Amino acid sequence: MTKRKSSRKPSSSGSRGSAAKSSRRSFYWKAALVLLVLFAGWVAYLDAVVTSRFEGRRWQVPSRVYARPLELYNGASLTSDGLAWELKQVGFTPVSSDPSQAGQFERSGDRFVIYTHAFRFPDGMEPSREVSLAIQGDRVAGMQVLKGAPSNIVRVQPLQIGGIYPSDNEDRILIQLKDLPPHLSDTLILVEDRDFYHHFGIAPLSMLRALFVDLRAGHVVQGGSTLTQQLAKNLFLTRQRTIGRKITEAMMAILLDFHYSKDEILETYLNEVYLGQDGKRAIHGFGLASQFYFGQPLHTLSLPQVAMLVGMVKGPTYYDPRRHPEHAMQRRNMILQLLADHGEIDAATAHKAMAQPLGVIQRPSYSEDLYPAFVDLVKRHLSRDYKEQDLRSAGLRIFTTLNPQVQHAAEQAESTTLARLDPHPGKSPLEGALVVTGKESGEVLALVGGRNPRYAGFNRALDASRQIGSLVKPALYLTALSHPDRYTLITPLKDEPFNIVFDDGKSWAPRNYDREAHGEVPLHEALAHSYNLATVRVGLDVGVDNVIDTMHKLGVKESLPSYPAMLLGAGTLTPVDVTAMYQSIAAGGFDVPLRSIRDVMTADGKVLSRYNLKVKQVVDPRADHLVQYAMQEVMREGTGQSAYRYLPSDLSAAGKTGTTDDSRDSWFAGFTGDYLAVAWVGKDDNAPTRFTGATGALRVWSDLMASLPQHSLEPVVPAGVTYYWVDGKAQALTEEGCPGARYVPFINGSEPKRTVSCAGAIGHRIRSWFEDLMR
Amino acid sequence: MRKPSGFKGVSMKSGALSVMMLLAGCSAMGPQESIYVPVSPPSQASSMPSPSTHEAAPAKIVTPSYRQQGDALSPVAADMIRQANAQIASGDILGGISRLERAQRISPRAPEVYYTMAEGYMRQGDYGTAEQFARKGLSLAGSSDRLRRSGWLLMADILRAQGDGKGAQAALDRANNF
Repeated sequence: MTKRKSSRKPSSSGSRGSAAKSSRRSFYWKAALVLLVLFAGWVAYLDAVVTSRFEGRRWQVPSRVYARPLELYNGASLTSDGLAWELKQVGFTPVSSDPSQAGQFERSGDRFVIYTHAFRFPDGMEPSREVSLAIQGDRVAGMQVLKGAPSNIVRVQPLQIGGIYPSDNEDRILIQLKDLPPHLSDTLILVEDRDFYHHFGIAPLSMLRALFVDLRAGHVVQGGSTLTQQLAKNLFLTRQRTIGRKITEAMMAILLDFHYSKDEILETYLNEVYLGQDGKRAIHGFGLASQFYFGQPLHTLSLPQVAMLVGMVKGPTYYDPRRHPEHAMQRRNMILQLLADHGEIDAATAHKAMAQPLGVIQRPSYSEDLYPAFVDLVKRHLSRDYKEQDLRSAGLRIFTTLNPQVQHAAEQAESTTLARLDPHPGKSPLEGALVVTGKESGEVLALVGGRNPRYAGFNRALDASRQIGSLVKPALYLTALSHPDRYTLITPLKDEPFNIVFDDGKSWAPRNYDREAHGEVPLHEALAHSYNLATVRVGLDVGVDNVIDTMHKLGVKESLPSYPAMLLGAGTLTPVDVTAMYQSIAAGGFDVPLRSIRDVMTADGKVLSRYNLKVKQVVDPRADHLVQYAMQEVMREGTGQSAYRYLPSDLSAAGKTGTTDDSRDSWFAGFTGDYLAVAWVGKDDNAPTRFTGATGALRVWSDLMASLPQHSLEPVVPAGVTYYWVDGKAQALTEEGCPGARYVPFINGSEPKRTVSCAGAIGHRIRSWFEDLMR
Repeated sequence: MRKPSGFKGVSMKSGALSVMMLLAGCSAMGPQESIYVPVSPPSQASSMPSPSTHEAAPAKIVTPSYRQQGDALSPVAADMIRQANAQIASGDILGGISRLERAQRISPRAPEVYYTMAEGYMRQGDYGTAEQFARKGLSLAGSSDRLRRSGWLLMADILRAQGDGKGAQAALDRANNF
């Protein structure tokens, strides 16, 4: 190249030496020019990178998933322990005297004083309030607002139960400079970059000093990085420590400083800095770190808390206050001393602050995967309406229906009962699933996907499709009772063996669980005791397809096999499908679609979706009332009566057991005044177990219900239904107090027309005459 | 032509209706709440007599429970309904319905909650949903003439707004039975 260049100027005058010199100079000029162009290109490239990342949305902010907020009002159903537990879960600190700041509560026995945080809900801001209340008979009483806007109902900020993170798993709560507690920016600048407000992005002197120290030590000891350089490194570069990267970082820092104000850079730094790890989740920024370590919003932090967090910037692992409290304490106090030395605080304040404990909460108020099965349901629901990318990065707020106290009770019921039923789980352990909903709201309050509720694997509540056995019977009898001209609760049914021969020559002979026939039984008893022979007869009479049609009306979306074995539950459904079906029965014949989400809101408070309560009458409420009567009889006299070993006897409930062949599946579905719960127990490989619906799933169900304060089931008698005292055997109306008399509801017009009396001789005679006749 | 004019008359009537219902609901003469069962201490639970499985002890049998009327509206829910009505009247229908859902969670067995929801959806022009909520309210009205009458009047309004004059007249006739 040089040669060619020189040969281009052969006729130039002057000495060869000067010609060579000038050509060399020209080469240097050109080379410098090329380098300059390359440098300019590199700078332009870095500039584009820096500005494009910095402008617009600087981070992908994860979506947050919240439980339902706790609502406090007189009469609210709540235990003292449940209240204290949930407040702690949300991140409240128990104190022994009057709470002095939001996020604290005082409990003395059944009396509480709670100082709530302000919180933005989809329907508006809930202000911070201090309230006092008592818990009497598991209900809130005498609630008073001591500080804040008066109200007869107060919402506590909801528990965060999940997050939907960007692919890098970074989590953060964005903050602005105006949200900072006193001393935070001063302390950070003093500790990390004293010349922050005066340098141009880099501090050459500090860099030289650091280089000198590093050279003497033989390895990198001091970074000498300004906050701006640290930000450039965090935002744009890998964590490698090479000279090339150091130069790029310095250039980017200069560019950042050139383009943006010091305050913009500081604010971005405060949101970006890495301050800890929670499993896969990376804790970024002071906003989230404040919640993660202290369970309180950033602006409420005290001086020693601020000093601890600033101290962690140097090494979030080494100074982790949970794992190495002594390191964190030492560093915090060093920083407090530094503040005093530089006159930022006086010596007395520093000493007082140093005497404070670290004050870190035991566990973060939110840790990931507390409720994996429920959050799984929420994500599936969201994926119908939202793009994955938006969920991961747009910082949405998702308000769900999960009731942490019911969830806690459900998990306890599931794990303790399964541990009792299967104390030495082998290769194929006994598993289970539990779904709990609000009886009239259809809100999913709790969901347990297996015997270990923390395990985020196979979600049996949503995905275990199993034969439902006798759980089909309420739908079958509902179909029959919807024809009051043909069936009433006292219609006598034949519980006797029979054989069905199909067109292909095969035959089917249903059997009772106890292998016995019970002769003639009234319809309500056939359901209460789950007699198969009587049930199949009714089912064949009303038609298999009509029974399936009823199930679909009640909310079953899956297709079901249209053959007679279906009448004994040969079709398969998941626990959540079963819940949908029983929800309509429990809600008086109204389909109430199950919901796991109430609202979705943007980070700045705009509501994107509301998932409203919907009801739709799908079956005759009169027939539904009759079925609820028989399902209550299941609990008091039938296959579900062992529940009352655990339940208080004044808690009325309705339900149905289900057991499949060889006890492969043990089911129980039942409801009280407030809750509907469906429990399944069985093995993943479909192997036989020792448990029937009553000895397996019902125990989980009863254990759950026994631990929840709630209203007893008292179905309202719908228009067109009347209760009568009847003598079932006589198929006649009778009087209260007569032997065998029952008080039974009838759809108007279907009640018996004859009357028998047990009061006088005539009555007796008529009765025995009837009895002879019926025989 | 008929729909909008019917609709206008309806909402005014319904507004008056809910105020009337609420006032009555708050009085001490209204229905009671369902039986509330606190969590019994474990010692009590284990000493509870286990139910007999023998037919020889029929005296112990507790017959299935029922009630003739829905639950009383809790005062907190009644306040919320008042606020929701104000919100709906001012045009914030979605906000009002949200508030009504909070009231529904507090008093899920009180017919008034469902009637007010029906009114909210009617204001929104969603007559199908309004009709279902009215039906739900009616299913909880039980033997209360006052609540049955309110429910059927509401139903008549909704059906008329939908253009079902015949159905509306039938509902009105039923209302006038009480």
